[in-house]
Amino acid sequence: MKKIGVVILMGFIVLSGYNSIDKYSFYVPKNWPKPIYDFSKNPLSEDKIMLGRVLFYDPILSRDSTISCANCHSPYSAFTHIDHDLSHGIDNEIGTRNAPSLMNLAWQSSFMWDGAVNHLDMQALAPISNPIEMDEKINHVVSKLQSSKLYTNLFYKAFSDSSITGERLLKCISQFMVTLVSYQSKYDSVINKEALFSQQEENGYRLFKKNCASCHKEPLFTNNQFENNGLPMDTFLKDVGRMAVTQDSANYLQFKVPTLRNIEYSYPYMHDGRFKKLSDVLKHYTTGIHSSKTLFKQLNNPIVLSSNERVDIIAFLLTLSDKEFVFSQKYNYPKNIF
Amino acid sequence: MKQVLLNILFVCQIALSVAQSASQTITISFLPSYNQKPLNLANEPFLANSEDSLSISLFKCYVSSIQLLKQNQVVHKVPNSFYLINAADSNSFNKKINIPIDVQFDSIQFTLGLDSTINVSGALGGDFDPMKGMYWTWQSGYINLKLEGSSNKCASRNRSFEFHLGGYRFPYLNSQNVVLPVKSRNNSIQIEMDIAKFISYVDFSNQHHIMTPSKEAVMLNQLMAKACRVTE
Repeated sequence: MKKIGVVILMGFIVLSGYNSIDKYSFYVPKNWPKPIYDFSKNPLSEDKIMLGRVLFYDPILSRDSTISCANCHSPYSAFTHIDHDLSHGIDNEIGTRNAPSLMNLAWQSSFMWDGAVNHLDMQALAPISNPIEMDEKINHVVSKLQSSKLYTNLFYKAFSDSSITGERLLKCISQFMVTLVSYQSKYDSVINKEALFSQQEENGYRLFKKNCASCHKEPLFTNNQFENNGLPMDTFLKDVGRMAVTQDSANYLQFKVPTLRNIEYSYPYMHDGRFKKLSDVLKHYTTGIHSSKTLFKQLNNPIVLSSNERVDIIAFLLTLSDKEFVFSQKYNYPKNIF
Repeated sequence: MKQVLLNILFVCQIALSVAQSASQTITISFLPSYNQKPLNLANEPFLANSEDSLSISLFKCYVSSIQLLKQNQVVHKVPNSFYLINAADSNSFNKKINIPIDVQFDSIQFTLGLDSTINVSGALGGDFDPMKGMYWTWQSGYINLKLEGSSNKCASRNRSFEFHLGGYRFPYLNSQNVVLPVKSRNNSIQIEMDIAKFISYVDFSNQHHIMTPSKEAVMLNQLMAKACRVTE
């Protein structure tokens, strides 16, 4: 009996030591809401985050090893596909939607413009399997990784055994994605009373709060809901948005409200990238709203902005740019591994 | 590290088994069948009757939440009973279950499919790993049942049919509850899943590809539930 007690005690000591070596602390910025992501089901570790980061930049995930996640989610443009209204995948196939920027994903409850994916851990499976994105099957990805010395080593480092499974690789990609947190823009410095807006930015912020904040709520600059913001349907793409997932006509033309953080870097704008510039976006909201049954209620009242006021709002939006995030050494191509 | 953990587990297991009251092992088997014979997966057509040729190339389904009932009351819930049954792998058919020795039951209940909690739980392993090909890739959710093959009645390319039945959101809740009477009291319960019975309800000229949650998918899974029975 005493021997069992000693074994158990030693076990606890070793266990607690193990936890403090590799655990990664997820930082929640001051005054931000609690993350939605359930870390208990996928506890963060440095090794798993690194493995996820390597996978993110590796075209091995695609059928012909030409397309990686970073192709459409480039770090220097806030992890989106800059300059492309619709992304192109394998064999120059053109997609149907604009690649969303990736940041602050732990605070989102669903993924994709229509919320088709209900958990971050299953997100990567969609582009990997889509015939026009990476056109690969996850069990084939696993075989490729199993034949790679680099990956058997990385998996061993992360899991203490060399078993490579779909679950493990998806959860590691999640771990990397969840660490992409953007919270150090000029706006954040102003809110934390470490800096001041210019007069123009201050005016823009005031107008923003009056006209835009019901959907683009601070501090994440999205209310994490699906809304119809009055975009007339593209007659070629015929994209009904969220309704495609729920089959509910109340969701017709509703799309996820994207974050406005780093909006300077993530053009073009909207679910099909139809607006190249922020001034085009503001023109839409003042004179381009297309009425329909599911239009977001607040947009039924026209937004009135003079051209100076539109410029001021854009000045404010530029304060949401976070250079620390976009140029971070922690998130970009892992040169030392490849 | 792993060895220490395994040692602790071993010690705990011994302690637990001493502490547990007496139990018995029963085997619950889910048997993909065709006309009461074991289902023969083939890529060549076999003659079901003189009028059509039918071959089944793939049958996989999830069964979950197994419970034993007596007079419509639950007398035992099998913990963590989530299984992927794969007609291509006979090792997946038989599940050994421990139940307390004094449990009396006259019927068995299970879900043909998975509940909504599993469908929102992200990446899972083992039978739930997306490598098993039972998770939709373009949207979240498990495929409860996959049946693929060909029939010369199908008006489709290569005369193929593919039924991927699933859906956890209203209004297309796909999973079905099945309750079957169990007559004799021996240590095995064999549940036949008769594909022939299921196919007899399908009109291949109109219905050969179901790949999304829908009313048709719900109806087909209901028919599959009806095609299950306990054999003695």
